[in-house]
Amino acid sequence: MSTPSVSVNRVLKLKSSDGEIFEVKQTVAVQSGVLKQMMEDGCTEGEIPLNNVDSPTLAKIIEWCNKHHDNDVEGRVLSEEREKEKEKEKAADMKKWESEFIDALNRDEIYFLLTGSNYMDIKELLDCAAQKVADMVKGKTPEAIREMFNIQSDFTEEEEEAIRKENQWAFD
Amino acid sequence: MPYSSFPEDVLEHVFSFVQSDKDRNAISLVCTSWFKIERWCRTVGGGYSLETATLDGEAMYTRGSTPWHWLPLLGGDQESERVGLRESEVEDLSGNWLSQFPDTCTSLVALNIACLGSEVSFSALERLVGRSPNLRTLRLNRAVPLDKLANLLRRAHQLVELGTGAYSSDLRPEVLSNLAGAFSGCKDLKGMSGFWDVVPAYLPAIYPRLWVLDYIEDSGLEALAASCKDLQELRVFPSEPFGVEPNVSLTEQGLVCVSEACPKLKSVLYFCRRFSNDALVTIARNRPNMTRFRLCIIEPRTPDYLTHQSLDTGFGAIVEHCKDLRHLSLSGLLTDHVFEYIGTYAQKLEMLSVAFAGESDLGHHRDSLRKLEIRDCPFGDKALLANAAKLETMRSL
Repeated sequence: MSTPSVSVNRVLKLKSSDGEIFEVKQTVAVQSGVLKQMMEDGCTEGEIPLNNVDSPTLAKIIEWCNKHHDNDVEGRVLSEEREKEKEKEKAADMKKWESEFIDALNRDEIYFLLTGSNYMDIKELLDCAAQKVADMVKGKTPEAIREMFNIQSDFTEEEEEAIRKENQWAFD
Repeated sequence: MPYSSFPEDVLEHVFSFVQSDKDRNAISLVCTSWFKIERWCRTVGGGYSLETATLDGEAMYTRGSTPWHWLPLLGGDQESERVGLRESEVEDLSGNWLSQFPDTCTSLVALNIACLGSEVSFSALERLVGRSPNLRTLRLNRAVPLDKLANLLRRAHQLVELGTGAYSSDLRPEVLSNLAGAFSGCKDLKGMSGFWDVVPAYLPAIYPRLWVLDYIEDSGLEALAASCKDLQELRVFPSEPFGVEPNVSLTEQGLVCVSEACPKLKSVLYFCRRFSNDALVTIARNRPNMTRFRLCIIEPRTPDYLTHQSLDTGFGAIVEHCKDLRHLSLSGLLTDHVFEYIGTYAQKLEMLSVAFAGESDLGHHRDSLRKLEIRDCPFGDKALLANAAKLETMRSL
């Protein structure tokens, strides 16, 4: 499959579910599997509606993609210059940036980031957000998880007891 | 807060980052949708316990809600390492998309077409598998018949996880032997899933460990017994633990068959709805090398369904014959006699548990358990104290 014809200076116009328009460079937008495909199909003229992503979430997603894009470009330069140490430093900085980015979000924001990155097929961001939610769950009781995410249990008492018992035997 | 309406594929992806059994258990108790998704990727899908972490630490992953957007993306580039379609709703696919991969070698690591309702082009699938030297995970849909499986396996000796297609009930010896031969070439295979048809007719596999839902039924276990001579561990989980009536035909017979035919079988976890002392005695005699035997008869205090007696003598036979038994789970109707047997014979026992016992059951056996403890056999006071956490029954007293 050929790489899409991406022009450095061209921008895509993304329209969030609440109608706000965001401009994104094509070179940045390729991180989204969906947008990349649309570019390959040549159907990116005009506004691209993203009906499942609201404007605060889209802003966050674009911030992430911009940062990753810049990082990749700088990383390539360092790689060409064979600056191994600086490359490592850069990767560590990026990790730090990612965790600060995610940690600054509240639960709702993370949720929308998860579903948004899933919808737009941005794998690295999806992984990062999924890891964050997984970390939030770890070490918690079912009750604490329910409370944290405001989920109502829909088990009957008997069902819950049956699962508890089965879980007890299912693993060593 | 919107978390209760998590899209399933996103939630499954989140769960793939949670590894510990304790956390997975907690997840399964949050609500029914979390339970179902967790259960699905525990026993069938993600197989996080099936040593698949070798895939660069990434679990299989189903991409976004618009797969037709990315299907043509299946180029030879980095992004096409994993292709998953399980939970996506795909209706408009012809089976020919598989040929859209590049003709040279692909970088595919995982291919999952389990959710595809439509047939794929088998020749395209065979060719694709054949030129994907890095393929570790392959999950087929039920449209892929059993007699195609051997050809696929011969092209993918490096597979670690396999989800089979449909299990044909049309038993043909040449298909079976062909498959057994193909399986024997896959030395790295660690886990399997699939079994798309409710009554799998045969399972000519050679696995050291098999974890399945009870959809495998007795007939599937019989077929397993006929061909999986190297099986070491068998876990059969209930698909509907809450159901009052059995939803599948899984009885003691399936386990008896496996115990007869698989000399290396050492570890058993078996959920079912009926058992008999005869079956337990047979299993004990067949497999004295067993180190873990955990039988969970789902309804508490179920007696031997043939004699309506307690299952004391059956479990007694297990501890008597299996000299190296370390883990034992009891279930069904029991009396104090069973603890006498355990005290007498189970010299190496480290963990004893009573599965699905009601409160009254534990109370009922309290004295005999105390005796077991006092008699210093088989645990020993120090061992008992050191392993207090492991002795789940004791802890419940």
